[in-house]
Amino acid sequence: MKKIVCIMLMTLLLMPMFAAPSIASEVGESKQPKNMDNLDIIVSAYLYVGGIINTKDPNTTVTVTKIVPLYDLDGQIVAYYVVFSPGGYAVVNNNVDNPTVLEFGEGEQQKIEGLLTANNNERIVYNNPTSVCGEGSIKSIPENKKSNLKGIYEFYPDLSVKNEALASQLLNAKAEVVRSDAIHQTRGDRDFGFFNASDMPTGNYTSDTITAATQVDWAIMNDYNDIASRHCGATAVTNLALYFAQRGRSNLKINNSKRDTYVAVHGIVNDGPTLAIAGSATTYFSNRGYSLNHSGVGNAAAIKTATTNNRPCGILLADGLFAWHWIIGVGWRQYSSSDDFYIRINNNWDNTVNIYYKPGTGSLWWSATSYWVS
Amino acid sequence: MKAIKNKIIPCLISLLPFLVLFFITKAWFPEAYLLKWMVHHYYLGLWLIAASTSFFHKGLAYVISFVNFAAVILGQVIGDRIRAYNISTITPDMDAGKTAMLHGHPGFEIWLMTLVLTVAIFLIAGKVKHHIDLKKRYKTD
Repeated sequence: MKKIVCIMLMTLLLMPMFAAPSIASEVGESKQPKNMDNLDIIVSAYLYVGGIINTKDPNTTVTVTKIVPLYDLDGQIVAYYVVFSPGGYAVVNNNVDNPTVLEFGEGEQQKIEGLLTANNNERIVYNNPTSVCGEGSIKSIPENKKSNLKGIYEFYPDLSVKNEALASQLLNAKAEVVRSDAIHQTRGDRDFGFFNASDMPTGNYTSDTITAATQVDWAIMNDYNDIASRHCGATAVTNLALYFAQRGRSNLKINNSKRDTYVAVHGIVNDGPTLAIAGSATTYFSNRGYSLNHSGVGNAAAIKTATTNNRPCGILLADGLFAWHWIIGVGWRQYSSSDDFYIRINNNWDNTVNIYYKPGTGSLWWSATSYWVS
Repeated sequence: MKAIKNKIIPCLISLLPFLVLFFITKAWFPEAYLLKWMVHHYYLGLWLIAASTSFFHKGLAYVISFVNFAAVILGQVIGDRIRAYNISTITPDMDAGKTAMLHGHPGFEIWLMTLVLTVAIFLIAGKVKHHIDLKKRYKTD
């Protein structure tokens, strides 16, 4: 009963958007929805479901047990189904600019759960709370009948429209969650606990980044899955080479090609697991005519010193007995009020340095070494 | 002379699986993940441990050598299948970290667990047998 009431409430909330779009001065133009990350999804969902869960026991620890992408008829992710423990769920619109919830309630959404039980690997197509099916059943519909199907944006056209109030509410809630450490990054989930720059807490902070870090075309592991496996070590050494090549040691980048450089580095470093890369890095640099120096880094002060001296750091993280990952530290940020310290990094997965790691959160800082070329 | 032979032959037998593995890797499977990793890391010195152990406990030496051989093959074969399955589950919406993780070959863990568990079971079984033999001896005495 409560679930039906929630669905009706959500529909009622959406009705004014259909009837009188001119009222909503905070509603923007329709454009491509901006995809959510996990933090966006969890916070958006909890803003609605939290009230249900906390009514039972305000002191209970809430965990997210499930985040399932929901697709439209064209195979795009349009929403996420989030399940909390103790019992509560929400279906969140996949749009950071309009993080509305399409339905929420106690327990689980039975239609979605039924589809997941029947086939965990099949994509779920979500058009509205009462029109949910597996992708297979859509594919079995004759082509001439598919045009009659109504997708989610035909039921709710405003889902792709920006809602300033909701977007702002999400932004503030996220900042508060990160600042107060309300969401604990768990260890052992192999995501190592990295933060996107957009998810970082607000507030005053001091920071520093090594020269030219934002200009480097960083290598990423997924570009070399065809020739390597468990190769974060080789990717980290390649990125060290690419960084110093950007700083003027051009011979470190072979044929001006990231891939050629990676192949040469991988021939020395090889596949992982590898607990140390300093020796291999020195060998590669020496082969290219440069002398690479390195020194151990053990704490925040040492990270700051290395950054001041424009020295990138190779950092080894551990998120489980067999879950290890090399990253490159390129800077730091420290908040004035809380003293919280974050390392600015390239994670060897993405071609960016707009990612941060908070030591001890989400994974253990096992070792770090700063590098410089003499 | 016989005493020397009794030391040398178990040592050579202990080294044989490593030699075979090295040859298989270089000749036929130079790009196989775990086989290549083992060669690159000199089999973590296990060949040396097995050879030295053979001088005072040839049973343990044989277990280390031959179980290591089997564990490497097992890790490579099962790891290949697990990796292939993991890659088949990758979807376009997955983030880069998850995608990279699913491309990882789990052969190292399979090899290590197999080797450690088997050697542990062998050692424990040896202790238990020794204990039982002692009890029997004191009973007959």
